[in-house]
Amino acid sequence: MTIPKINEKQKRRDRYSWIVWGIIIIVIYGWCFSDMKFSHIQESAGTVSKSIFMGLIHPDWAYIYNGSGEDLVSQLIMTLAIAFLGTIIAAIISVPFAFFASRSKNSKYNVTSKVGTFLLTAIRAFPEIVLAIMFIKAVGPGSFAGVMALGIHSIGMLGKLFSESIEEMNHSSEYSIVAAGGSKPQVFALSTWPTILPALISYTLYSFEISVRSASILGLVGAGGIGAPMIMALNTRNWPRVGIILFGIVVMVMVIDGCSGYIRKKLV
Amino acid sequence: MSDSDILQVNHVTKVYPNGIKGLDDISFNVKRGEFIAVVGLSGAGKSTLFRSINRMQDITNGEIFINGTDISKLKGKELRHFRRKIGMIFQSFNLVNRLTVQKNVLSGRVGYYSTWKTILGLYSKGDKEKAVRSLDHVNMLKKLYDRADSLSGGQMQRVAIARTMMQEPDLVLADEPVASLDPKTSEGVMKDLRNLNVKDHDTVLVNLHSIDLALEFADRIIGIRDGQLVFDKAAAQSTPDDLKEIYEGGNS
Amino acid sequence: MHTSEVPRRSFVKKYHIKGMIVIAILIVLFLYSLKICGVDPSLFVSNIAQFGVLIGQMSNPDWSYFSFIWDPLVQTVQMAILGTTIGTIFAIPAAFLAARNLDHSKVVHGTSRFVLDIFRTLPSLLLAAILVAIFGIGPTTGTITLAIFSFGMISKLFYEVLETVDMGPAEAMKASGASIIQIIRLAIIPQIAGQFCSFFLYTLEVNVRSSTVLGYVGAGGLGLYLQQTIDEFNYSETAVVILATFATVLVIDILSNYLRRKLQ
Ligand SMILES: Nc1ncnc2c1ncn2[C@@H]1O[C@H](COP(=O)(O)OP(=O)(O)OP(=O)(O)O)[C@@H](O)[C@H]1O
Ligand SMILES: [Mg+2]
Repeated sequence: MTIPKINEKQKRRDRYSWIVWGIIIIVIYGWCFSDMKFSHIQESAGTVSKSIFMGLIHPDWAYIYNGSGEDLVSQLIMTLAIAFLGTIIAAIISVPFAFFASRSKNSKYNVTSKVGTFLLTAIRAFPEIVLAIMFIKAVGPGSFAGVMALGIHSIGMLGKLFSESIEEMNHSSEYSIVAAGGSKPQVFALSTWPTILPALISYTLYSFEISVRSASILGLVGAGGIGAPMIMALNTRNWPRVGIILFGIVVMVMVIDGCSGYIRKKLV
Repeated sequence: MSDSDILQVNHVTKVYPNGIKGLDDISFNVKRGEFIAVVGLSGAGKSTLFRSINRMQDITNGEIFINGTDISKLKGKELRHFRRKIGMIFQSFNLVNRLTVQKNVLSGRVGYYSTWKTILGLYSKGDKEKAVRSLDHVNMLKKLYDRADSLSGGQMQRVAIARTMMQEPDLVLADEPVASLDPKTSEGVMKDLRNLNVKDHDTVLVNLHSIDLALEFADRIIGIRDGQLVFDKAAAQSTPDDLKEIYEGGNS
Repeated sequence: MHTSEVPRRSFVKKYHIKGMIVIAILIVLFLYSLKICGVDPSLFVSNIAQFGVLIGQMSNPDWSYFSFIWDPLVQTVQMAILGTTIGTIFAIPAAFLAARNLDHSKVVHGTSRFVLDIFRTLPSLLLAAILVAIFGIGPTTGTITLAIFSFGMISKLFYEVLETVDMGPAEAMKASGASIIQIIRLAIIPQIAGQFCSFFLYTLEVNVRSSTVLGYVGAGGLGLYLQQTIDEFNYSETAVVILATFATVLVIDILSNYLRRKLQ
């Protein structure tokens, strides 16, 4: 009867490990609270939130469209355009990248795949805002900088998702093309590509959803889109305008999520 | 070696990188126009044998001749041209799910087209008509424009057979073509395979788990155990007890 | 000559009209976007000198600057931990409200889902910019931002897990007269605790990433220094800030991946 003994030991070890984890967690939270220099919430918080709320229920409807190109609709379209271009560019670059990174995993030397994975991780660790700031230096302020920033940022994510889906794909139909005498490019064109395409499209749409959110903040640093009028309205305490812009962003993101989700569901 | 032998397997051994012996000094000849069933326990080496015959993998020792050519020397374009003449049918059908039946069937001609023509789908009129005829043979013409993943298992295997017919193969290798099908559908698919043999005079090697189907359809039965040839007789002279021996011999 | 007839395809199917239309729309949208975004690769050339300075200085990080950013770096991590925790505390009841398989009315989970969806539409930096106007500059605002953001994200992750829960044990308990609290405690929590922890850690990762830039709009942490050094054109210091961000994110990722693997 050795089994109960082991269980007994295991139980005791479990209990000890719980205590250890408990102490670690308490220490972490203690550190967070004690060391944190909490600033006091400013006194005007109540009045300001009331103003924003009033702004939200009495939005600046006139701002929705006035033909100046600076209005809400034009800026939202600009935001979508930045996200769209960034995503398309990223998707196009990510495809060869992902095939390259995943193919080499099968070979003995997966150096390329390790380098590739590291590069993708590094890109993902860069917040899109930092990239936007750098590209503003490279191409000047405006939407183009935003497109570049989102493009690069999305490669980090799409490259990873693409190469994972390539590794997980079902290769069985490739064998039949090889067995019929197909060359490598033919196997790719007839089997690999049609098999993998829906997954690639689905991930690209998902990435677009995320890019739309990102594009709405790029304007905060001057890289185009709805973020610029937003920060301007906040700085000038124009609450009705903050209200309408907020409303616009929420609607835009929800509509895009809805459409993209619908298409993705139909793809599989 | 006689001229009527389409396939010669001489002392072939296959050792996998992990040390497992898939085939162990196996030898046999196949005459043109034969319908052969290969039987044996799971893990006996049947798939290994088939994959070796069309060079989906390389053998460790021995030689394989097809139409008198030593296939181990082929590479690149020669290898691809050699494969055009060998039809392969898989247990899992291996159709490209998202393409139409027509495109799947036409892909049997892939070895005769350049890469860019394949990419653009520029198949000749003759081949398109041939695809219609092949599908008609297996009674699947009505599904010509349906997507492959909308078919049932038995229908998929029929399409796979039509695809093989497109190759006008000298030799057809069918690796457990009916293992995932119900008995009635299996019977139908086996009949289609026999049609290849009788009507088109193709040589067919089929790997089966069902002794009944082997006895019903094959001219000759080859038994494999642990990578070795343990049985080789005309079907007419084999009894079910003989065949059970192939499966059970290993354990005693 | 054939035993059965060759099927016919409609014109739309034969020439892949639908696919063509989709591709045409995408191309038009692409060109239109290029135009309104003012994409012009030649801008790279005209700004190459300035960009060269940026890259040149950035590849020469001023390591001495690191001592200045240690405190805000620590603050960043603290903001992320506290924000994620507060968000999680509020997210758990919200997730139970939004899950479809726990029996309450369609109105309840419908509305809670809609509200949660709204929460998730706002990126954290935008949220921070608004909250700074309300609560003022400092890490408190950052923490509140991350709490709200985590609330939206975690409640969705949690209710999706809840919906995969096997309700067999819960129904058995219900039949024997257990209260809803008892059912949750004994039949549901054991099934989901592991995944909950894993999602908590994942959200923490995301929050550490975003907390490094929140300071850019004044919500505390490292981001403030990102903004300062860039405004002062001290790119060799900016490089240190970026590398510190990078290192922190990497360390948290590794730690959290390790813990998540242990949980499974
Ligand atoms: N790629 C491989 N690498 C290593 N070992 C392999 C590989 N493929 C097959 N084997 C081994 O070789 C032996 C023969 O396998 P094979 O697939 O040829 O058997 P089989 O007769 O087709 O079995 P089944 O009826 O289950 O399909 C088995 O022991 C198997 O584990
Ligand atoms: Mg097999």
